[in-house]
Amino acid sequence: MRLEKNRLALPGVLLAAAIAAGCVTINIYFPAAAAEKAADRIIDEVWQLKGGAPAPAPKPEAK
Amino acid sequence: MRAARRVFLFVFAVLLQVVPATALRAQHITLLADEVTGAGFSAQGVRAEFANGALTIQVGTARAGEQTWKNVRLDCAALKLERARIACDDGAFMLTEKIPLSLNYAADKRVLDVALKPAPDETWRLDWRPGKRGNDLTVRIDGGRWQRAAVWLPPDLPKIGAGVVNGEIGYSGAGRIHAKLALANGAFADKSGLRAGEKVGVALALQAEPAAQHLRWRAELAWNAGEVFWQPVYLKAANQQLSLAGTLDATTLRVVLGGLRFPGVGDIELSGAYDLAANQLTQARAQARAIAVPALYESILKPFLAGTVFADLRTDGRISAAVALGCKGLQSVDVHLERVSFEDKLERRFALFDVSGIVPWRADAQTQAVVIVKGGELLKMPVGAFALPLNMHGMRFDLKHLRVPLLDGAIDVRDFVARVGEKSAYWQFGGEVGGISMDKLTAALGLPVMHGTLAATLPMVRHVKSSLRVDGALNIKVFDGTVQANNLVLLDIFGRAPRVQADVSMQNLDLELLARTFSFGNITGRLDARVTGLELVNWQPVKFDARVASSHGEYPRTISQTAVQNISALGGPGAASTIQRSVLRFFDQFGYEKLGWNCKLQSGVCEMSGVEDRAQGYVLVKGRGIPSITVIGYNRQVNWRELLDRIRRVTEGNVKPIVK
Amino acid sequence: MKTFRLFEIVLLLALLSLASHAGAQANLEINTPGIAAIQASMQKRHAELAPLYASGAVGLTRDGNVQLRDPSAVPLPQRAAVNGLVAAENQDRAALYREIARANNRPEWEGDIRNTFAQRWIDRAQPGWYYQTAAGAWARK
Repeated sequence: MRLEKNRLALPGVLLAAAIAAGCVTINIYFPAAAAEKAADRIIDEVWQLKGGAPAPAPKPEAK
Repeated sequence: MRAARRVFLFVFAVLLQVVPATALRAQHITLLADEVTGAGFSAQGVRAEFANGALTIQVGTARAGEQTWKNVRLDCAALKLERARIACDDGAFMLTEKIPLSLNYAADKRVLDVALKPAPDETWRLDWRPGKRGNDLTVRIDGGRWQRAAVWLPPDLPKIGAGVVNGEIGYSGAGRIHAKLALANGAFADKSGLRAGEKVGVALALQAEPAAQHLRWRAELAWNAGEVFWQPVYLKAANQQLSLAGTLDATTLRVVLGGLRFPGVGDIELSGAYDLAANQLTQARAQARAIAVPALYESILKPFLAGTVFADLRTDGRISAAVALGCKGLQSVDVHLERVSFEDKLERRFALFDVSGIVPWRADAQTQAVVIVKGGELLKMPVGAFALPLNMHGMRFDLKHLRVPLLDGAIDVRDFVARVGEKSAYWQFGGEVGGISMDKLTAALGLPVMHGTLAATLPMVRHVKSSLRVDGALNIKVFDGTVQANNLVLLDIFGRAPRVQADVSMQNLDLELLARTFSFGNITGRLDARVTGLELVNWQPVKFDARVASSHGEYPRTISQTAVQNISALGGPGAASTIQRSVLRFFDQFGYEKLGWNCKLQSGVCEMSGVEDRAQGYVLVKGRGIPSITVIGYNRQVNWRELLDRIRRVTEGNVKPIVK
Repeated sequence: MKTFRLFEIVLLLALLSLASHAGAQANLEINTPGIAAIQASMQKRHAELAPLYASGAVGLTRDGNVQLRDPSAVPLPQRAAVNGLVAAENQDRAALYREIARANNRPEWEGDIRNTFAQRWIDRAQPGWYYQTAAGAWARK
């Protein structure tokens, strides 16, 4: 999906740049997978999920 | 409920006055009225019907105040008509629900008694009888549901969940009103749960009587049970009492004499006027004398200060205050401080002791506060006595000169100016710090002990939003040299991740003092440093370009074997031991020509170079004389955190010279 | 024909830049003193928040925050403190998202980072905790 988007977006940007011949900022795509990995690492730390039991013991089924 | 009563009274009055006794014997009577109005009340499409001993009264639309009811209805299946009495034992009154009703009218005494029973344990009893002047009406409420009051309250107030009202409301023909009501087990809450009360008990006594041109009234309110949380304040009932006396006319509700008694905190006197048409407070005054600061702080101020540096204080002293409001808002505030002290309880970051004086603030006049502080503490360092002659003019505050003694020196603040706006605040000041001995300062701050005296000039410090900017250069004299900070900016100072940006340069620091202070081994000489683009986050460097080098000029240049070893140790384990194996271990001191170290820190990596480049490395210490030593670094990149660890190990003396 | 060729070259450029970029962005930088400070503060607070997540008093919102969703589960005297915890946590979370964006020299990513976190907080929540669905309703894990 992201690749597709970029493939289309960048030529568009370059064409626009050629026409306008001005200063163009190229949007760098957001690295979703890397962000998820980073988020997981921080969540592990904050919620103490790695190494040993999770901090909040899951409650026995009480619905 | 009141409206229901009025509707009923009106209907009954119509019945009594319009229908002659003879007609009552007739079999069928129908009465129609398009509109009936009274004070604050109206009824449209009124239809009363009497047929075969049954009475039905219907009202198409009834209005009372802002409230409207459709199809209000009174039914009495068996109306008893006797010579001296009209009675209905099991009637029904339809408002929003069906309410069982019984009524009894004693014609001889002209006493009307009506009982409404909306619930088995709830009774509203109306007693209407002739009095000295006109008719007297008394309403007795027994087990009244507090929720019924909800329709009369503004919609932005929390929703009433429970509560029982008992008491009596009376109106005498002479225009006197009295009420004695008690609420028990009251509960209310809004959706967010941030304004809520539970098991609330309140006693209300109200009296009013007509005077020359207005109604004179008195009210006493006592809060005797339950708890209330009204974001951010949580209070428990402690028999807090509010008593108010004043007047009411068509335009203004006035409190002439009011008092709030807050057990444990103190008494507050109140007065004010409320414009009923404009729906706003036009004037108010509040005054409190000799309030104990600890009680005030714990029960009222503390919740407002949560999350600030004042969140957990130990307090002492007394405070008196008077506040006046006008139509344009706050008019004046007078505060009298009597030996007020406060102290950052846990972290001991600051404290002020024995603060006394007066602060006479006026919205539109210039005044001066006279406050004397006997002493204090700043970051565990003793602060001496000082005076605070603050000039005030509305929301502009300035201070020509303030001298705060700190340790054996002083901080001088000059030309302090603050402007407080609707949504923003701005302040700035200049000044200097002088005469503070570095020995005492560094010891108090828990830093390695340094010698000399601290002298610094603060050209201009400006605070805008949450950032602090220092215009011009901040100069500090230390290690017999000078340190200069330019373009100093502190961002988000009180946030979780405060940021500092600056360019720092140091000239002619005495290396001997410096190395001794940080137990780095003995080096004699002078040092210059330039750190540009320094950026600290949470007081730790994340970015800078530093160039440290021996100063130009003539001075003794020696470096001890320990220092050389320590420098080598920074290159990583193993480097130091090479010296041990060489002939150099026979010498204690070496001469050098120049020394230097550059580090460009970015993304956790320090890019290093020295005073000169060599084929595969860079020169950190260039030797001269006999014996001389040259130290060459080979690693051009080092992880910043690892480097810090090595420096820590070295300065903590973990890398000891092993002389074999 | 000419246009086609232009596109072909540009396409190659795009792929190249993508490749080099993917290499540079394999990991987001999260080891900075700022992020560490916020993370430590949140970790400390979690001991107090965990029972509130479990009781359902506090839930995870779809925008990467926490919210007091059932005040009746908190007795009145504690409500101010819990409200303070929620406010402090949201302040830290906002600072965390901002700092991660800043540490990677991409302040404009703050919104995307917040969205990523919002999803991961919810995905990794314990059974029994409440979270907000994409439509804004509360659901229980």
